[in-house]
Amino acid sequence: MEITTEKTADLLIARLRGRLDSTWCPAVRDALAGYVKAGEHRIQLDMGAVDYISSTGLRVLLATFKQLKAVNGRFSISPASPAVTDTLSLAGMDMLLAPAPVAAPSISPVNASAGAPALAPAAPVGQPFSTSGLRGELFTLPAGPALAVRLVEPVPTAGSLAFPAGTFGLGVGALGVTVDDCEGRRGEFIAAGGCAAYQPTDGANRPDFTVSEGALIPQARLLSGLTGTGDFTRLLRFDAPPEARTVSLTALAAAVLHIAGTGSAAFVAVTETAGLVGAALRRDPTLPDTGGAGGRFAFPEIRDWLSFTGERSFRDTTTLLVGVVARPGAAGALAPQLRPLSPAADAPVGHVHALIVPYRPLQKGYMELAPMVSALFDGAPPQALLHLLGDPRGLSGAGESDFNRGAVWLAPFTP
Amino acid sequence: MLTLTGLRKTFNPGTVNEVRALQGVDLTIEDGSFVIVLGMNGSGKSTLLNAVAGTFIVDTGRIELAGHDVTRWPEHRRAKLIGRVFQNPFSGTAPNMSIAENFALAARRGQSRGLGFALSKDLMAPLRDRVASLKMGLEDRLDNAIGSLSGGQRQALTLLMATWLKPELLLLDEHTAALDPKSGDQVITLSEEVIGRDKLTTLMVTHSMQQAVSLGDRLLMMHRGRVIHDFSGSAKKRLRPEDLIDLFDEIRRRELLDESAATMLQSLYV
Repeated sequence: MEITTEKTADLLIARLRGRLDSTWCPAVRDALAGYVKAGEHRIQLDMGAVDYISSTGLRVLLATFKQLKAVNGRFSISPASPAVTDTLSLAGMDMLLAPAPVAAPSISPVNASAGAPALAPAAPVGQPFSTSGLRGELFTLPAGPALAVRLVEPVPTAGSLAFPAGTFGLGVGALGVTVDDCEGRRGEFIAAGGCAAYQPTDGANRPDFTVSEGALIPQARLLSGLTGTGDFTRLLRFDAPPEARTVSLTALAAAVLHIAGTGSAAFVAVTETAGLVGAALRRDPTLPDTGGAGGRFAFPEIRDWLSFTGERSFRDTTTLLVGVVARPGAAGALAPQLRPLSPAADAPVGHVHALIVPYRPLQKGYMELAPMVSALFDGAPPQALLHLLGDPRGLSGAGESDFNRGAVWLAPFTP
Repeated sequence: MLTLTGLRKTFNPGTVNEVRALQGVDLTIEDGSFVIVLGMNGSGKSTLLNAVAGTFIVDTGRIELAGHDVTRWPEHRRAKLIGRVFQNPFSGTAPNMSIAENFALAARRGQSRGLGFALSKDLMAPLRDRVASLKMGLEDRLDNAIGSLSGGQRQALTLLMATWLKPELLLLDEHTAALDPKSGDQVITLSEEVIGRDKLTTLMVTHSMQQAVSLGDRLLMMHRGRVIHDFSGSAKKRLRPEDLIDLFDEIRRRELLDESAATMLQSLYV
């Protein structure tokens, strides 16, 4: 089997030559998965020189077809050898042969969940955008209530908060209505698009989450952090610039502030992730100290309280980010919750949490926040929840988180 | 039953090569329990097995096996109670002696061997049967020097010899690590059979996550000379290889969180 590729303006053409049987399926499957991860959502497979395809091969083709259909991409086989045409027809998979109708990606609807309304003809159209750290397409969203961001009252007995669509949150807390629901398990928390998740500290090694369904809306009690309400004003679809392979968290935060045009902004992002550096609580902060004169964050007690990735982790995952960022000195009342994202003096300050789910490709172009976020909770459950940090310790540091591409909804606010 | 209380061992104390290999191990292993010991290189797994076997005498602590306080017993005296299989297939057998002669030695382990004929009929008949049950065709080669066999064959025979007298405790120290995958699988299957049939109390060190989850009824994870996780019963049954990899990741992260990382986190984590 030989696999060669050719890139046209609109398509990636992959040419196979040989037999697509169980011997070669893993190689072809890995090659196709690699193209999708590299952002190719429109793939044409040239099987004119393939003289045999087994059922194992059919499954590989069907899996790629379904994956790309889910993100409004395209996967078709053209040309196909007589043997391939016959096998696909007999197996009832002619749809792979038909040249699929081409939808322009910039106006395609969101991962249409059943109840989603038909897209209005006035769907936003993107404008090209680029800065030093990233490039992409910028959409202006319909005007709504202005964004407001508040500090969480640091009172453990304060009431529970609801996180319906149109709100977001990040900080330390737990899902639950009563204090008892949360006792002994408070950890890193994130909420956006009507979904909320936290990393329990009671020994569970996976995040717990609630997704809005009907009248069910996530309820949580937070010890600290930031919450926001209101509408995002812009959507940025971003990619790494040609000279770099990835977009750093600092570059993303700088772009968010640049687009917002103010000193402070909040964002929710869904990204295909290259690597994350961050920390997560191991113990509920309301529990007593474990001993040691220096307090809970002194070495080595800190090992009982915090888990730190220590190196770039969670490569090739998909991530939900919720963040509040500001230019240095512009954080106002929110300053206690914001820290420098990187060591440079003019680097933005921020507080960003990340929920990590197994990799799935993101569709291109315009998309809506709430359906996109809730789709992240379908399928395999979240793997981890981190408070992202840039580790500035020179050679021994882990550096900062970075991303291959993604979508970021953002708006300015007045602190 | 094996009971370990406060075991500590430091190699080369007071020198630059000081290694605190066991830093307080307390452990009770019930009769018939099959315990898997997992840990990174240098975590103290093999040191623990060697401490029990008597390769060295521990600095402090107490080792009780089958009602005897064996803490000060030399290795050869403990051998009466303990069967061992090593990682190196060449360690457990005498290469220039025949298969039958090796078994004759094993059959009188811990007893006085005297001047009688070693290869008695009483030994040869059951020996032929047991070796035949390996289905390696070795029953017709009982007179061949054991050094002429492959690593997998030698390891299978070592296991038979180690368990011939139904020891109070069986120690398996990565006994399939040096074998090719197929021979390793054969030796694992054989180990399961023997341990299950004779209900042997067993401590098995392995680096294979698959073996760690599929074998045994209890799993210990060691780190820096201590037992840091102890799974038994339903918690052991529920473990998957991914869970063990997560636990190793967690250990690694703890190590990476050093003093400079702590200082960094104090300033950046809110």
